[in-house]
Amino acid sequence: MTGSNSCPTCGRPLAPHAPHGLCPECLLHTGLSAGTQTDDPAVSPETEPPPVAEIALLFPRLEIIELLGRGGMGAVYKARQPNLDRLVALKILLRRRQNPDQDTAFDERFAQEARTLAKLSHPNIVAVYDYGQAGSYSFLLMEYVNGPTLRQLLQHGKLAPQEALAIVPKICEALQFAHQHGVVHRDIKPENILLDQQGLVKIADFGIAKMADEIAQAGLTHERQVIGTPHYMAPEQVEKPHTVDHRADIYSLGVVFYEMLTGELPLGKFAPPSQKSQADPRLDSVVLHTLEKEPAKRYQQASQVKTDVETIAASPARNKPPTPAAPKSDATAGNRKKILLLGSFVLAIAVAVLYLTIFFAGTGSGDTPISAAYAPMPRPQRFNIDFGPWQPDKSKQVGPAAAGEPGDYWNTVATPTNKTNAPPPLKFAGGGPSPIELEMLNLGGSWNNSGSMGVTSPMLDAFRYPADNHGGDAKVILHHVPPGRYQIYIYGHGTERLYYGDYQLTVGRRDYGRMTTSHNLDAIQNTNWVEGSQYVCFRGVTVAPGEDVKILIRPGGPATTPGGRTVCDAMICGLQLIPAPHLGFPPPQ
Amino acid sequence: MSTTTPSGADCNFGQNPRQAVFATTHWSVVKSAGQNDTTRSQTALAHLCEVYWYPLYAYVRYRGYSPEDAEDLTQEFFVQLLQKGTLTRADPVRGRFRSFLLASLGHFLAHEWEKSRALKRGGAQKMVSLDVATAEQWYALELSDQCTPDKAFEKRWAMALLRQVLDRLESEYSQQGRQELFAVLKETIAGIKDGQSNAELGSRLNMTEGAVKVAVHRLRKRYRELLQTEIAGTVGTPDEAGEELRHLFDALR
Repeated sequence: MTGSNSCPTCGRPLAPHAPHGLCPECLLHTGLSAGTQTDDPAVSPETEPPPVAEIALLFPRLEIIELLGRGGMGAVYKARQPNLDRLVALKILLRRRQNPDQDTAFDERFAQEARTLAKLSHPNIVAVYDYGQAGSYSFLLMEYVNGPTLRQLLQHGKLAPQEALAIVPKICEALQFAHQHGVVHRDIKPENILLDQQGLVKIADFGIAKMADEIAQAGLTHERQVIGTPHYMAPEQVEKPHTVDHRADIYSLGVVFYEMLTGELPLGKFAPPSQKSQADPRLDSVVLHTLEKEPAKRYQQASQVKTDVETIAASPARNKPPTPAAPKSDATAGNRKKILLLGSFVLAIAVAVLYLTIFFAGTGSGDTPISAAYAPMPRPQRFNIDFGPWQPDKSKQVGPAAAGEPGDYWNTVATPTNKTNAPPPLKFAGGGPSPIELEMLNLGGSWNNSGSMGVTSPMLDAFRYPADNHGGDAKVILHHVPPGRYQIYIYGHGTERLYYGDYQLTVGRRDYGRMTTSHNLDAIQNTNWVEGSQYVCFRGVTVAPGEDVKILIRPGGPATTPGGRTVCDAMICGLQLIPAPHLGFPPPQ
Repeated sequence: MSTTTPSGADCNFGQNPRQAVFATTHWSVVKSAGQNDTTRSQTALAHLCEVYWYPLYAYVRYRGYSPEDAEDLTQEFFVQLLQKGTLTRADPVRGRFRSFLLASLGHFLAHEWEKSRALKRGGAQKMVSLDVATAEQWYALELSDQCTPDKAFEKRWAMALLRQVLDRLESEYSQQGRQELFAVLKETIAGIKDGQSNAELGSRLNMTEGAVKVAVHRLRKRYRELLQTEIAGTVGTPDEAGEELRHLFDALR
């Protein structure tokens, strides 16, 4: 195993310097599961999901379409019920052991749970249609939700506060309903919160955590899992798993709420959401109340969370900046119907943006109108990157000029030549990437609230443009860079090196595709870099309000130099902005 | 790139030849080093610094300093930490050793560095042995890992902590002459592979299947104990240990 580059347990890439060649996450997971595991090397909770063909044989009345996903508790397949002409989700639970006594006991409990779940008929809960045993598997047949999970939405950073305010009350309704029917979810997390194409919120996997727990207790698998997901688990769920009641779900909801607002998890001594985002400061008390360590100090009912969130959403915010999606005139006190409509609208937009994110690069174009996705993006969070010639394409307006800015913003980017090889969207903390990047090279970029802004990708060929596509210079413009002092790196990753060339950095205002330099002492920095360097760094770059950063790379060197016309021939190269307020001195020579 | 030794240790960077296991917590080491000058407490603290220096170094690099500056800064930071009374301000009630180190380093970078910049490059006093060449290799490999310096620090802290725990575990097994057992079974600490056969492991170790099962159980149990001990040593109160473990788990994601 040592020397291989992925963890045989979880499959994640393994760093060459991982401790003793072992996956650090799995090592800590072993630590987290202390006291609940019996360490049977013969059984793993994460068995390979059965292939579609095997499942198809077991379920002759279904058309098994594809494997949708897998987890520690089983696998989910997309299927079709021909007689009802509807799509369904088939959840296969843990492989059963071949022990008749255990199987019978388990079957009874499983049936009991499934019947309880089937009674949970609520618009915000994924419905259970059927259950049973097939072959050596237990299964649940469930409503199929055609849409992304909240996790997929969050992969691009936090949500706009309005989006969170639209989603949270729906989660609360579902939880309240389930709790009234005696069902505790026990594993509320973004992966289990789905958004369908109408923007409806649906919670999946109610009660599945409990089923898995019972399977483990019944000895049907030896390796018992920690029930729940560590980040989202209430403290009592870790410490006293058998005393958990519905208030554990309220804590998990608080974690999800916090993550939606800030893009981060509430770990350690965390700051209130309003300090990390544009969230309404009045939401702080709601979030913190859900995250009380003592269950008795928390909200006692999910409906109370819903009431408080809706009250705040329905009254004017004090410190919340206006956004196109939330005009203040709509947010009058007591006007709940409008708020709900607004919520649905925002959610629909969020889903539309997500679809763009996921599918645009792969399919070339989507059905969702791009203009609809652009319009509601809050401008301050946007951070655009342009490549290619700076000719404005006025058919694609990105946004109107703000007060004091020289003109509207346009998409000035050349059409990418190779969309099919577009790299996957990047993950950053902070705001979601702008649609421009999605349309282009899927170069993402957004602000990490507490630190650096990065632009990179394992497949980023941006700096190869000069040699491969245009034979000219590489140009990158960063818009909406918050004012401040930075150091900016252009680097080749790992053993890759940059090649000889001029690296020029300009800070200034942008006006219809032209960069005009400002009277900024740091406005232009030039670096002649020698082939083979790891990176070029511009230190102490000051960006004033309204200014953009332009990076021009002019490859040099004789044409005979291997890669001489290429800035970086690396498969992995990137650009990184790091806030550096301390860099008040010139870099050492 | 690190090399792989037959024993499975992925590289010798960050390991300490002195495999002393501390009975005291990191906080008590810090306190005693802050209050008196005994060789023992200084040695103990120096050991602690050697285990955890890379996260600090990486933090400095993430803040944008060159490798040379980062080395000098890290060394100078340790000088301040070990010799100049910074530690008397350390207070276990304040929480985690990790947070204390990071806050001290942040303060040092903001205030102390300017004062000591008169030092020539490479002129900083050497307190601990830093393998900067290896550190730079690691750092280069991790550069695409987009995160804040604080997050970078936490991630590397978790790695250093795990390395320390595994080093101790290996050391314990070696002392009992069971290094081969450790080398073969250590991958089961990270998780139990589907379909992995006890019989296959047993044939490699010349042990029965049942004996392998027991050995795996014991190894994982001891690992958990050492991990708990190591983490407990870095937090102010025992109650915080569980939270710290979860925090580190999150930091790695």
